[in-house]
Order: sequence, then structure tokens, then C-alpha cells
Amino acid sequence: MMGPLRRRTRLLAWLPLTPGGLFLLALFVVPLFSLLVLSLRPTDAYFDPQQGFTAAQYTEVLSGRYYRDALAYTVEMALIVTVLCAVVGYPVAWLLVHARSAVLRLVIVLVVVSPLLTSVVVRSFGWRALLAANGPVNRLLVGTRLVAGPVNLLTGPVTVVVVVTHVLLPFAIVTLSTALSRIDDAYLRASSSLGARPAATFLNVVLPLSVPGLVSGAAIVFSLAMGIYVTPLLVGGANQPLAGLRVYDQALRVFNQPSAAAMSFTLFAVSLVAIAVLTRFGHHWERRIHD
Amino acid sequence: MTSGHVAVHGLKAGYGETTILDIDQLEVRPGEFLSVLGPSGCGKTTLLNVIAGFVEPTAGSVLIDGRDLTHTPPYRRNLGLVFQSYALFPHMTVTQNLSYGMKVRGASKAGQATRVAEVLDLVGLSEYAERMPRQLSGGQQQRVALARALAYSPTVLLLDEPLSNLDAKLRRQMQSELRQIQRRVGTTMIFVTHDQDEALTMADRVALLNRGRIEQIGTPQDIYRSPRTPFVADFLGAGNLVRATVVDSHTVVSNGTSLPVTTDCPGGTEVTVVLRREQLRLASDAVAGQGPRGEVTFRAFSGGTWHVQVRLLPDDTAATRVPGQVISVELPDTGRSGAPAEEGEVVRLTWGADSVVVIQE
Repeated sequence: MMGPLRRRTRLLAWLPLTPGGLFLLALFVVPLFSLLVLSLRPTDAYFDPQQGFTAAQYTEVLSGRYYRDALAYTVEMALIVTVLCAVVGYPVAWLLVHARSAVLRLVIVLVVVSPLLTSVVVRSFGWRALLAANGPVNRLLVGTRLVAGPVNLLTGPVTVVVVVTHVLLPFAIVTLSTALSRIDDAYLRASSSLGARPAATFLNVVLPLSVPGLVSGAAIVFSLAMGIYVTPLLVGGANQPLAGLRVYDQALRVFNQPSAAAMSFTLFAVSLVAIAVLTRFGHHWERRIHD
Repeated sequence: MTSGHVAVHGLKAGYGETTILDIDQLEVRPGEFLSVLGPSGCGKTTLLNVIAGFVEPTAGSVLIDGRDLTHTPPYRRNLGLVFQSYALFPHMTVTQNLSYGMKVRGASKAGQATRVAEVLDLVGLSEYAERMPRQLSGGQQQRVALARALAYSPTVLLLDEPLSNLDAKLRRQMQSELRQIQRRVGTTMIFVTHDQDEALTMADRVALLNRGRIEQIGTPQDIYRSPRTPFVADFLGAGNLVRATVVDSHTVVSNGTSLPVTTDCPGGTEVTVVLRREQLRLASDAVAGQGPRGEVTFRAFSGGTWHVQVRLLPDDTAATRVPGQVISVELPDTGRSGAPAEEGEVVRLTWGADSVVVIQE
């Protein structure tokens, strides 16, 4: 008697998950699958997908300079942004957790989340105004005679890195501050009472214990940086060798959709591998401490 | 050991207007075991944190072996600290935890290993050197925390309620173990606790804190037998505090009830009489003698003892007064034959007049 009843209640327990499940299925799994099929279709002279399957698009992505260089450039940019977010975000996250003054904490939170609360268009045009040929940065550079005339600050690798770091920094700070707030203050006092200077306490206690936060923050920032295109597009235009921009270009301007799909999947795969490596490392570290 | 002398002068600590610690004078002798006892919020942990250097006092000074450490950062004080939560570094093995203090001081690898082996042996955990803290029981973690704080031979060891996360049995075992270790290494120990039994059992001297001030300091016998204030008597579990007025050197009167005591306070003085539960006995009302009459209002058997509550009756039974104070009495069980008076019975409460403490208000 108990068997069927229990099975039925167990099925019922899944019921609340149905809307979310259907939503994910309809809007993520199905399009992803059709994108995968599309990326494997052969094309005619007008890039229209035909019947059958081919790996031609993937060969193109991995060997042709157009995509391969963009992929390499993007991975490099994402790595630099991830490291920058960690380095810049760590002290801010620390201050957010340990600041005595509630007012200071509030100010930090507001500054940190402000990029998330402003629209991407407003934020990007803010950057454009700042970095334009007659913008304040160029005027400062010219005024201090560091450069002879206004320089192009809007495109180029440094700008992309700076802008993307600004956009993704909140994600790093939020994950890091969560991890840092979980470190019991008693560990810090124990280390100090045992004779460790603040720097030694940081290296020996705080840093190792914040590895889980660093790992999850890095995973989020890296995968978001890999796919970012709206902010670089609005700040520096479409002609930058970013993978996201290349996909956008192929899909919506050249209309070579199978090729864009193959590029998307390659990006997706690189992000997945990076996240897998990071989380494995994180799990291994946490098991050492907690299991 | 000659080092490990702690002196605190005119110490004040607090936030803004509120003073949470105000200690005129406190000295801990080298090699002494001092318990700092008090209810939660009395400032005992703040006192420890001021000595350790984690709380900056607003006034006063902390001297260790004559050196003024008031403004020295914690990592240069050379003190040991044991936490209630143990605070063992979870990502280090027992050995790494124990050598941490020596490592950050730049001690040689060989020296570290020798000393780690020594302190592990001291706390009886030699087989656990390569374990991670999470693989140890609470009692073992406690021992490692103690060993870690002792490993680099600090002059003074500060312990912040280190046993309160252990169960009662383990706690008693750790109490005696800690005391034995202290005798062996001779380090001065300042032990913060809210548990009066623990404080009395372990300490050479007990400092009782109340609202940031030292209410009384003395040996356990001293502080228990001669409490200076009603707070001390109450906190050490006296049980019954009776407010009364002195009549003569042998009698005080409380709410119309005469109580036999011995006091040198002049007549008319307001006093508090401390009647310890276990000092009181019940006698039959029919027997004429010293001691006030009372009515038994509650009686309960709890193993080796009986708990009895007696409401004091006025000397002049005709007088109408507010109901008398209820006195708790703890009587040893005398076996099958005897049981104390039942509820509703009128009895006479007796005690040795010399043994009762009278505190002048």
C-alpha cells in the first residue's frame, strides 16, 4: 500500500519545479540544440543551411585566422579581466566585510553595484564621453603634454580590458565578500596572537580560506567576459577582434548563421572547460578543509 | 618561572559614551591561574581582548613583566590565546597549526619539529600529528588549541571560555587536565568563564566582574565564604539573600521575622543575610530553639538531596504582614526512614549563627 502512495508523493514533490523546468527547456535547451544542429549544416553560396551534416564550420573556426585570432584574443582578454577583477575586487570585498563604519559599507555597496543598476547604454556612453577625442582623459593627456595630440582611446585592447573589468567587477566583489565574510574572525585573531603580522596572516590564513570565493568569482567573471559584446560594441564599435562581436557580425550582418553557431559553440566549450577546471580545483581545496 | 607578571592600571574600555570595562587595579602573579568570572556582558571577554591587544583601551595601561604593552599590536605581545571556538586553522594539519607561531617567528625547521613533538606529548595527542582539525573530536581540538598557544612558550596564556563547547563529563576531565598542564609548564593563565563551579575548581584566585568592574577578587575559598557584596553571594550560588535590619549583635529582623546571626554592625544598619541552601536545617516547630518559623510550601526529592522551600512566618503570629520571603533549603537524603516535613507543615529553620554571612549594604 505504501509503495504507490509514496511514489505518487515523490512525483508530486517535483511538481513545483515544472514551470522552471519548462521555461529552461523551451528557452535554453531547445534553442541550444537547434543551434548545435545549425552549426553542423552544410551551406550554399548564400550561407543558407542545407540538409546533411558537416564539420566545415568548426574547421573554419579553428583554423581560419578570422575566428581563431578572435578566440585567442578573447581568451586572453577574459583571463586578464579575471585576474584584474580578483586583484582589484579583493581589497574592496575585504573592506566591505571588515569596515567598522556602516556608512562606509553602504557607500562601497552603492559604488560596487552601480554598474549593475545603470543601463548598459548609459554606462557605455559614459565611457565614450570619458574616452572621446575631446573627452577629459584625452584633454588631460594633451594638457600634461604626455601625448602630442588626442589619441584613439575607444578601441584597442586596453580599453576593452578596462571597460569589461568595470562591468564585471561587481560579480567578483559580491562572491569574494561572501567568501570573506564566512572566514571566522577568530582565525584572524588566532593568527595575530600567534605572532603573525597582518601580511603573514593574509598570506597564511585569509588567502587560503578565501580560495572557494576566488574560484567561483573567477568562474563567473571568466565566462561572462568570454561572451561579452554589448559594452565593447557600444564603446569601441564592431570592428574589434572579440569572439562575441565576431558572432554578432556573422549572424546579423553577413548572415552566415551556421558559422556563427559554430563559433558560439566553440566559445561555450572553452568556457565550460575553464569552469570545469576551476571548480575541480575549488572542490579539491574545500574537501581538504571540510569533509 | 619568573616571567608572566600581568598588571592592569586604571583600565577603561568602551564605545563612545558607554564604558564596558573599568578596572582600577588588577595584578596576576607569575605562574598564577586567575579565573575571571562574571555574567555575560560583564566585560570579562573585553578584559581579555584588551590584554591580548584586540581592543584598544580608552584609558589606563597593561603591563606584562613591567613592559607597557598598551599600544603594542597583538602579534608583538607574545601571549597565547585559546578561543571558545578553538579557531584551529582548518586548512592546516595539527602539526602545521602547532608550528604556526614558531614559523611566523622564523624558528628553524628542526626546532619547530622538536617543540611540536613536545607539546603534542604534553596534551597526549602524539598520534594525531598529521590529522586535519575536522578529523578530531571537540576535546581533541581543544587540546590542540591549547598546545598551539603553548608551543612558542608565551609568558601568559589567555583562555576565553575554552571549555564551554564541551559536554559536562569531558569538561570536568579537561578542567583537571588543564590545571595539571598549567602546573607543569608554569605559564601564567587568565581563564575567562561564566561558570562559577569551573572558576572555583580551577583557579588560584578568582576575579568576579560585574558591569565592567571587579566586584571581588580572592582565593576560591575566600570569595565563596566571605562574599563582600550581595551580587557576589548571589552569583556564587548562595541561594537565599535576605534583606534585614540589625537589632543587636546576635539578631537581625526581616519583615517581622527575627534571624539569629553574628554581626558587628550597629543596631539599625540595613544588611543582607546570606543563607546558603546547604547550611540550613529544618527542626520541628514544637522544639523551642533558635531560628525563625516557616511554612513548607514545596518539597521535591532529587536523588541524594531534598529541595524544600519554606516561607518565613513573622515572630508575632497575630500580626498581619505581607507574606514572608521564601527560603530554599537543600537537605541531604537520610534514607528510607526519614523525609523532611511535608508541604503545609510549619517548621523551624535552623543554622549555625556564626557561619552565616552578613553583608552591610
